[in-house]
Amino acid sequence: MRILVVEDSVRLRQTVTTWLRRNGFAVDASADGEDGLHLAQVNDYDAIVLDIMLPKLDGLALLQQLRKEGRLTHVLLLTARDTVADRVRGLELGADDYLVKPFALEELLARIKALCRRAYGGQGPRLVVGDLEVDTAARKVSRTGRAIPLQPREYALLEYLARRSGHIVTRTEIEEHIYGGDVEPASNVVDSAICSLRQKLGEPNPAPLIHTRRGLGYELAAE
Amino acid sequence: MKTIGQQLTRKLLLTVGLILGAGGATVYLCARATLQGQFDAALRAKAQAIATLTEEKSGRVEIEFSDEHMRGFEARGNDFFELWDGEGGSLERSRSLRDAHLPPRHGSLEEPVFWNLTLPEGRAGRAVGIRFRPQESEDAPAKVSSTEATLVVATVRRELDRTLTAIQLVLLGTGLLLAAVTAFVVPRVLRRELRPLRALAGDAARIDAGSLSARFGTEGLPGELAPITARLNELLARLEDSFERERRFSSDVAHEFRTPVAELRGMAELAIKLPDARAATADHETLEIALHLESILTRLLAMARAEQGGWAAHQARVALAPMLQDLHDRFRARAADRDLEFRVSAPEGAQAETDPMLLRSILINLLDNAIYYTPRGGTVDVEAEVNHGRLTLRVVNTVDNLDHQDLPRLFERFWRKDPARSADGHAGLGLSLARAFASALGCELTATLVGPARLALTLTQLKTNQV
Repeated sequence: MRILVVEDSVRLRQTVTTWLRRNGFAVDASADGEDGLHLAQVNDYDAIVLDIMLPKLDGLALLQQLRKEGRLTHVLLLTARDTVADRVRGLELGADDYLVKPFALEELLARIKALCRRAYGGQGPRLVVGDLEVDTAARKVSRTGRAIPLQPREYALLEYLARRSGHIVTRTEIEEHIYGGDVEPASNVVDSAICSLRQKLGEPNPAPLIHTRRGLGYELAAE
Repeated sequence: MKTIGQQLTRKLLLTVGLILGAGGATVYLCARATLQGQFDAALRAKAQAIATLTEEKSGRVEIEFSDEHMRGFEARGNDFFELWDGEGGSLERSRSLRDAHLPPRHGSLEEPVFWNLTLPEGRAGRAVGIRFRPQESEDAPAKVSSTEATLVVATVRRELDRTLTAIQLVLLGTGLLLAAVTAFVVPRVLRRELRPLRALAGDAARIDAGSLSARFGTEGLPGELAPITARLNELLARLEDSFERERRFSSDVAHEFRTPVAELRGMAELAIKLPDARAATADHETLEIALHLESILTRLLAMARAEQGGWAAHQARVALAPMLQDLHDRFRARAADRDLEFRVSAPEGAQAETDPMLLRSILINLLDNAIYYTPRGGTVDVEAEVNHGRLTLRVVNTVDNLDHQDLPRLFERFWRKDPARSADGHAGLGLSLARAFASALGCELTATLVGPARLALTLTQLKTNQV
């Protein structure tokens, strides 16, 4: 899942970015509205965490511009303003959720997960592919009832594949959504992660779940 | 609830009703008096005619009466008379009376008596009664008899009553018609004329705390409402400004406190949940946040204390030039870092009678502000002068994004031109604190734009302290 964090407070930006990355999200961060808008326009994010009071272009103007361009990326507004009028204004301009500072990191994470679920057609927190179960709320994976421990990034990759189960996911999509586009050209990071995932998923049941579609990408399916 | 429209309608209808009633009654009474006067005149003429036919012959009263000449008195006529001699003996009656008699009431010839009565066959009538002396017969013409006679002439008043009834009906009909027209027209006219008032009420109903930018319409307003709406609009503008200031203040306070607290909380949570992700500079960051919060609190408390009169000014003679030079030394390095031209000037030997600590605090806040906000390459000038014992201090600096509308807000707590309120250690309290100190010092601190891009903050001593 690829997230954009637009927040001008350096400390808060770093905290949120670190927290989300450690939880398996690919995160881009921006310190002002103009840069944030540019990133949101050129990249395909699953959700945007957007501060309202921003230098150069405030968060609400950024949101308005995105919606005007027809971009429906889910947006979580992050702000110090907590009046009803402020919340209503943000939601009316097209925000999907609202979090008032100061906030608990766990709450931020839960809300972002919920937004990501909505980004994939409102799927529930439990994804099932054959004998594989992915609990996106608890971020736990099991196959044939046996729990499979995964690294955060492996989990993020599996969840991404599970959410798009039955569809081919391209390598570029994986690079962008899981690694935030920070993948060197000709890098085998995606192949390694897929390989590692296959191994771990194969332990409870050797039947393959992740299939390589030559020249296209990967597909998670129970065949 | 009673409305002006309803009350005016009711009162106007009542008034019109009373006027119509009184007018109708007056017209009717006048008409009746006139018609009855004419009726009585005719009756009296008849009585006089009969009286002229009455003669006294040899001590006896006689009447030369002929139906041919006076047709109304015939058997089925509408006129009646009866003549009595001086002793009350009935001498003659019209045939129309048949067996009946008329009452022998009378006045004089000059002032006859008129009254209403019931005539034979129950008909309503009116009579006149006179007492007169008949003329003597032709033997002694124009000689007035010594014998008196009484004559009562009556006539049916049916025509008179009909005419009066007709007048009554016409008046009543006209009155009712006018009342109906009034009842129809008045509410409509009032509704139309009170339209501006309803529009005003509608405008007022639409205004709440969330729509204070709305104003009452002023076009086409009657003279009575124009000053009211003008005043209301003025009040709304002030209210809007006040709400806006309050909203801005709350929002700014929220930002100034919530953001550092969010930073602290985030850093702490992250360090607890992911100990390996704890930054090496975390403690320094925490300290910086704590110092920033402490600075805000200190300033707020100092401001509160100054406003409550907690700062007792200790007057002393302050040599201005050394003080400014000292401040110049203190801020010179910061000004140089930002390529600012920083100058201070005070007349040689100028002194002011004031509290040196408070004055210095004010200047530190003003200079801190000026040096921070002056665009790179700009100038900051501090000038002091004492005229007749009154101190004036001016801090003038280059500005690049300030306009006249910002001037009143400069001294609002937490106000900053930058809507993003960048985290730079400035919370927007410096100028409000400087003004609070100025007030404690018996001074006034004002802001003006000098030329297009220079802001002058002027501290003026209100009381003259002769040095």
